[in-house]
Amino acid sequence: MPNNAAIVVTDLAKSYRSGLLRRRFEALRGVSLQVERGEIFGLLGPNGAGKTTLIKVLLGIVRRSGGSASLLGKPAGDRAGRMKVGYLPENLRIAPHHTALTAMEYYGRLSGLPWSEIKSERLRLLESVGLADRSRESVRKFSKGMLQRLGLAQALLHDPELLILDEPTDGLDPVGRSHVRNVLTRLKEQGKTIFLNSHILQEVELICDRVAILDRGLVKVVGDVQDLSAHQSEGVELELVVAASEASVRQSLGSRDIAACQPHRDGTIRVVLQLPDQTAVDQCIDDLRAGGISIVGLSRRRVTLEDTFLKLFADTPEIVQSS
Amino acid sequence: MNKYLAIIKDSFREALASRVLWLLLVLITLLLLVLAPLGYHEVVTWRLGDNDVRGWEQLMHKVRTDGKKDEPSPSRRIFTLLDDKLQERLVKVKLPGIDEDARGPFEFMGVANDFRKSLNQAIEQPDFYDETSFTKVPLLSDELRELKETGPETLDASEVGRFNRLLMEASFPELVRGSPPTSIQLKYGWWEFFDPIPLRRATLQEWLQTGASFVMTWFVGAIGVLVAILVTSPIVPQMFDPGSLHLLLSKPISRWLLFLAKFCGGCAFICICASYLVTGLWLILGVRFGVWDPKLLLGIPIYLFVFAIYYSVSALFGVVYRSPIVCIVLTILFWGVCFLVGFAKITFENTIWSSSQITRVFDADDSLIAVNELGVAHVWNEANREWREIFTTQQQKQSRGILIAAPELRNMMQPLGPIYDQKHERLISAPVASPRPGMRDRALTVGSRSDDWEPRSENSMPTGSQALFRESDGEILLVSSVGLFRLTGDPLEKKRPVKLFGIQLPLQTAGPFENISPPDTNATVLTPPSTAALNRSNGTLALYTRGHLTLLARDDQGNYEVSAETRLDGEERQPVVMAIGGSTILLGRQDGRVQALDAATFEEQMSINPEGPNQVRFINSSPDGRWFAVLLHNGNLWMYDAEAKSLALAPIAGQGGISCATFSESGQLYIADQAVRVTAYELPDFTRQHRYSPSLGIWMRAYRYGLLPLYTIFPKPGELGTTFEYFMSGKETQATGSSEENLSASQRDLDPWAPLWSSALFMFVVLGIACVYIEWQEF
Repeated sequence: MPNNAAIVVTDLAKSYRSGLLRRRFEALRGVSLQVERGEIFGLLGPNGAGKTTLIKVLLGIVRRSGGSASLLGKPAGDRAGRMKVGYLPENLRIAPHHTALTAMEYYGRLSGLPWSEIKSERLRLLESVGLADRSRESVRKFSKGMLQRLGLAQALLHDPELLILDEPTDGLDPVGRSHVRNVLTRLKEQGKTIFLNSHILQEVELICDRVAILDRGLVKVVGDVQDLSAHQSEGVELELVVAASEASVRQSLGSRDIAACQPHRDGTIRVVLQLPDQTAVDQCIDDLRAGGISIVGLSRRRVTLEDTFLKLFADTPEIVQSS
Repeated sequence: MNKYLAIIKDSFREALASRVLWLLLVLITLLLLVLAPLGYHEVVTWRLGDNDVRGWEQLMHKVRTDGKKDEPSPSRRIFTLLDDKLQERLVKVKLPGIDEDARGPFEFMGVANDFRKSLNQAIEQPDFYDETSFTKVPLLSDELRELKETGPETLDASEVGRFNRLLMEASFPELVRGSPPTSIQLKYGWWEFFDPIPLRRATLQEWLQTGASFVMTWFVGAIGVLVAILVTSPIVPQMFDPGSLHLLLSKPISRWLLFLAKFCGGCAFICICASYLVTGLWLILGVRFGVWDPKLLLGIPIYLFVFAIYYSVSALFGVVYRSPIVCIVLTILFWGVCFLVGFAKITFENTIWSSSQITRVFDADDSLIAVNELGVAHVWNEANREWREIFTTQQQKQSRGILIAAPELRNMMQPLGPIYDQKHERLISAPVASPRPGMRDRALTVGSRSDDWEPRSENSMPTGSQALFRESDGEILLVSSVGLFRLTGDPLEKKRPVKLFGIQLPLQTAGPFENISPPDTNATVLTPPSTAALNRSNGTLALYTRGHLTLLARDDQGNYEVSAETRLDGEERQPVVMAIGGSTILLGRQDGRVQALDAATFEEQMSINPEGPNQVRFINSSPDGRWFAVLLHNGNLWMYDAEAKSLALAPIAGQGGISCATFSESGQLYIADQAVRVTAYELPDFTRQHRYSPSLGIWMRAYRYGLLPLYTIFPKPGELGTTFEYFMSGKETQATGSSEENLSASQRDLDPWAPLWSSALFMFVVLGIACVYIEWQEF
């Protein structure tokens, strides 16, 4: 049965030779992942993890050394496959003789679009990324964020089935990021598949359905964002602000794992506890109240993707596979 | 395809957005505005300019010498029209090349300048013509005769000047150059500059073509290309900027076509500049000079091609190194190497190779003698398989360096001959007419076999030598501009120069030569352009001068009588190449025609352009008069069969590189090719009889096995100017300034196709390498 996924990567390997001695460097060492149609997939990893190399292999910019990769059912690099892909590279540079309109015309033509279609679509797209009012200005005057938005618009011009975005919010201000998030959400609603590579983990967490984390050419984790957070969380971290002396607090908590206990100037004390589960949380509150301690504030900290990411690279060498 | 057209369109857009382009366009506009006021108008030719007299010092000498005589003559008439002060200065001035104690040139130049001014004032006046003074002047020119018949007193001012100018030309044929009826007066706006140039409109067009070619070669081809390389070098490296390249490569396009489209786009920049400049020049030539030659617009694609050659190299370096600076430096280095290789080859070819080229071969009894482009004779040494230099005069030795370096001077300084005087077993050569000032050796040179051909000479020559022949009975015949002479005395008998009042008289004496010119005819007075040929079968002499062809039959006593005369079609001043054999006269015309005439009736038997406008350099006839070897300037040999009245390309190897084709006394055809190789063929089958092929010297080897292969594989962008010249003129060779009056003088080889195909091949290979590299390289 044919695989209907947008991207299928199996045991993908890529090695380069560089330097005077032509030393071999393995950028990808058997990467396997699958991006389903209609989902937003995030690719994470530290610098040198192989994220950009993976994108280059998918687009045929470099040849793979081993394994296989396909885009929309076509082998990676195939021209027919690339027809249906929109790409926004990292550090996009558009020749300074262009205006936003002529750049859209140029890249639209390269994507095989007829002039009539380019003409009817380019202003609408520039409007959607907030550049309509500066469409006739030379890109020489554009900020990095504006160039990114123009790059996103050109990637969308030929109505691609799959969008590959390399750091799409890089250089954007908060408003610009929100703009791009909205565009991507709209595209998801239209059933487009989005494969994005970003350093901004909060962005990925907000937008992506699934992520893969790469490290030194290997997939460390691939899976649903929520599942990954849940998987990485071990117990509950509880933060309390209480009105009592430190000694009475410690006495009421007994042998519980106190991560922090800091007195404040206003006489309250901030206590951070590491508890195994919700029952332990309930018991802890009961004990404090039983000890006559007044609870001023209480919050339970959530485990973010960033926590998961940092934890992974702090102490988990092995690959974790989660669906 | 639309995708790639979009890339090209983008390059146009990029070019139009470039400030450098607009700066260049402004500079081109300024150049065109500077050139736009240039123009000309036609004026009647009468004034004598600096270049209209071959030797002012000789004319001045003649005028001052004859001015003292009582006998009326044109020279005396001129002398009497000069004011007293100038007469006195003319008598006293020391003339270079004539007076032995002549000092620096400044004194002479001052007097010569005043003499020219006074002479021009004189010939502007109606009283210049005085029947008694000009009574002995042969009126060969139709134009002069017509003006004289009209009556000098009825002529208007410009016609008077013209009439007097023609009188000057007729009176001093060896000194005053012939002129067309009208000249070109150049002007800039309303300002007329320079003397009127004696040019026909057609010649002006040729000049303008040469000028346009010069502009194309240097302004556009060299400076323009360098500027263009500087401007366009970032285009390909910029493509490799990761932020730009990865986006391009992600598009559904082919990499190598992307590269080629970028390359073509880079050429767009130049296309805009070249189109503007060349179209502007074309419009100026059309509007201001009336030369609406659409072929000039070929300059656009040719220049574009020159640029594309360099740009292909720049693009390859751009693909490999991805740095505009590296591209510029390496491309300029490449330009330098191309220039050096081309320069070395042309220099070697024009000097060492062409000066070694054999242009005449003849038998001297059992010896074979070959004469090269410098006029130096060599005898074949079978034992050593070499050409041994013989019969070289001191003057030839001294001028060899100059002649090697300056091919255009060869025609003026080469001696006539040598020919072999069988009776006395000696070689004879004569100085060519009208030597330049300073060339004092005007002697007949003789070298006997018994002296190992050692040259010896004495001052004993008629003036204006044109041709030397060995008549059928072995006598030596000299054709000079003033008549026919036969060598009857001892050429080595020393004669003292004749002096009058301390002034050395010109050598009007014939020395050992007997004047055998037929009396009561001007047929043997030759005015350039002129030529002579001798029929080896019946001794008939054919003389051509300024459109007139005269045949002189030789009687049993050895006297020549005019037997027939005709006027050739076309312009009066056209030079021809001529041979006469059997009952046929074969002419090579300036327009590239080969014309066969019946030697008795002048009836045209054939007229054909064997290779378009390519001109004939030499024609030689076989002793029996059946075969004529017609050698073109481009080195192709055609054979005319007088029996079949047909002209055909000779079925021999080496076509295109033949420098000589002549017949031995026994009727063998000698062909010289590869500069120094001579092959003897038996006709009519062209069976090879013998080959005289010397071992090559070190320089010739270096040229043939080193420089020539290197030159062949290198592109030749610098030589596409010659391709442009070829497209403009249609000729594969180009006459140099001094050879315009003599079709046999060596011409510059334009070789139009070699630079084109070799450059195209080179560009194809370079672009191919770049395409393969970009297709396989990972970015």
